[in-house]
Amino acid sequence: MEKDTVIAIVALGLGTYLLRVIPLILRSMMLHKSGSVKANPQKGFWGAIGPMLISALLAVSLVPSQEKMSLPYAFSVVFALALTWLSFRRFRNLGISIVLGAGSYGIVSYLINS
Amino acid sequence: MNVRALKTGFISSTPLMLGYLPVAVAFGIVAIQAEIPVWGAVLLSAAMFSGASQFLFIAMISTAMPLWMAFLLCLLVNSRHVFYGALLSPWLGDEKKRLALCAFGLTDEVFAVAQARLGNISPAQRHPWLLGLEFGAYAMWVLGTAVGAVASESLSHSPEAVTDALQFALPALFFLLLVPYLSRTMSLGTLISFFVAAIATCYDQAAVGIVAAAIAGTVVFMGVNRWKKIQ
Repeated sequence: MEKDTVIAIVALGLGTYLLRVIPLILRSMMLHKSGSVKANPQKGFWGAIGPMLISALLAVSLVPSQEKMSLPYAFSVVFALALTWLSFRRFRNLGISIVLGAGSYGIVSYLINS
Repeated sequence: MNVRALKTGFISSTPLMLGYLPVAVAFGIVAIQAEIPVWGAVLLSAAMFSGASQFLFIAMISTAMPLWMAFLLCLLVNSRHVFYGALLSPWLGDEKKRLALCAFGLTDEVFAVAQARLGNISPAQRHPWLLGLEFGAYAMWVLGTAVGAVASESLSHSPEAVTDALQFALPALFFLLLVPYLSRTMSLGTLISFFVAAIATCYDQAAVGIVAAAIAGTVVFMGVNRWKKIQ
């Protein structure tokens, strides 16, 4: 691997880190300076954008490639998500529910594709 | 440091580890196929810790795109990370060294779990818990890359059902984290956010789509709230 590529990788690592750390430190300083950290700083825009980001991440993680897009795929996703939710209601444990949901997805998509 | 909170955070990273493993292994395989050495693939994962932009970087250097262009485009893809630290800051105090340490591992998935959980953790335990969470996710990401790179030939023939099942861990996690937020006022906004991101992903614009979707959903949510107040 060329030296320039290594430099680009390290620079990208540093750039990504700065994208994460600067807003964290800046907003923290703003909140503590204004004293509003004790009040609820997560109302309005800041309170909503977090869940909206999670919803967007869910969509991105679920939308398949063009070849995989099909009714059987949609069925296996809906089934697995439903099972994940029911498992969580039963066991109240994130890890167990995810393992059951992921396992059911693997089984259903194997059965559909075989 | 609160070791117990660190361990709890590490255990909380289990769903992330499950989800990261197949993606990290796939990245290792793709890197080898792009004629990047094993150490180069591991360096990419260790330095960047950012899946989408890592795959993009490999794709771009394979087409002999100028490095400065690849650098800028990858940073653009990662621009959504700007929100993550800002959103978590109310729970993490103002000690700069601790913030600097916690910031490194703020990936999409780490953010999603932290956003949902940090408010329920006592202030003294938040930093070690978050570090434990990030460490578990990061370790799996780097190890998975190494495994994929070293064993790329045999792993590229793994049963599809197994990798599919492992990859479903992340959507399942996001789904469970989202459900508690689905109040009457938030439902429409989260639905809008979901569909905007889904449409953007269909057009290979997932990175931009995430930011656009989140903003669109938030605007809708604030609009609904305002409308209800007027009523």
